[in-house]
Amino acid sequence: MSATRLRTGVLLIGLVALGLTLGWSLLNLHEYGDIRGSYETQIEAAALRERRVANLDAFVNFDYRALDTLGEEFIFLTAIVGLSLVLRRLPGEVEEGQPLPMIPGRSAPAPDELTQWITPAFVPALVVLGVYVLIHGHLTPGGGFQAGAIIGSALAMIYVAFGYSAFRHTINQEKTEAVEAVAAAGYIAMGLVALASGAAFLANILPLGKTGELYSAGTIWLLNDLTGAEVSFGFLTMLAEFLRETQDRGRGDDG
Amino acid sequence: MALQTGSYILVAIGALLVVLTRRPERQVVVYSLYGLLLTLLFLVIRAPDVALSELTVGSVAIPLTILVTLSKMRDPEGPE
Repeated sequence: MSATRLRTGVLLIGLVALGLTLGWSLLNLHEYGDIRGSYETQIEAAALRERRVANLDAFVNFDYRALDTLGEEFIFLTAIVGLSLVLRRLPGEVEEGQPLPMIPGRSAPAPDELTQWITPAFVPALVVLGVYVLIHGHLTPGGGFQAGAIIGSALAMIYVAFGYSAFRHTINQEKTEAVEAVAAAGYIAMGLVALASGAAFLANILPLGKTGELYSAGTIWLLNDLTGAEVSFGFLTMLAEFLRETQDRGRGDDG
Repeated sequence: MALQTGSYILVAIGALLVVLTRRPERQVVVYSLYGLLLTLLFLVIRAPDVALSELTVGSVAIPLTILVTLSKMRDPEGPE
């Protein structure tokens, strides 16, 4: 009992301290743009003058710190490879236990008619939106990662509305994986091309063009598009793996 | 500044609601709405790139993945 009271006491002290400091910080917030650090000024100048890129985030992600983005992209790729390795059935591996889709007392929910009406209209529009966000990544907010998530989620709607077989019918998993791998390798290839041309790894070697035009900012738009392809197809691979694990059990289908 | 303070408070309330929701399938929906609040906050403090990431990953991709997983896992009588 006393331990509980002690804990409550500590919690209360913590809450009061948190409330006071948080309230004090909120009341003393700076107006937007009050603080201008030297790093910000330098990045801004470098992005606009040296790379002619309008979206500073894209400049940092795909030029200034392009190596970091390579790391991030490969974290995603490694996660998906690991996922596939764990979930996939090896030749000769025997499934134990009850096949999951046939759990007694639990039937698949009936397809929702409204969702089935909405999905065919939304999927193409969302994919177009994703592609727009992708190819304008160096001009407007957004870029490869966001566009990849939009495209991947849009196609996942097919599973939500029409079920697994329709999803498998739409997504050719072998090609999806191939595009994902080629896009990931393309990022490294861009770095190597820069090395071969005598510049640093992932240096910006393409013509820069005019600020604000679609094909500007040199390698930034290419690296951005490659990332978008990798993320969107990676997302689909991940979803397909998750769904296949349970759906193929008990069917004797090696998928 | 009032807009910023308001967004911070909304995010704090949203986070609390996520923690207080006990059933995973409901928590996913609350988490998704919390993602929308975070998106609003990022937009207000003028970080549109981060807002877009949060919108797609936080309120769509993660809830979708968790929901699909939950719908496959849920089995009141089975061996798992």
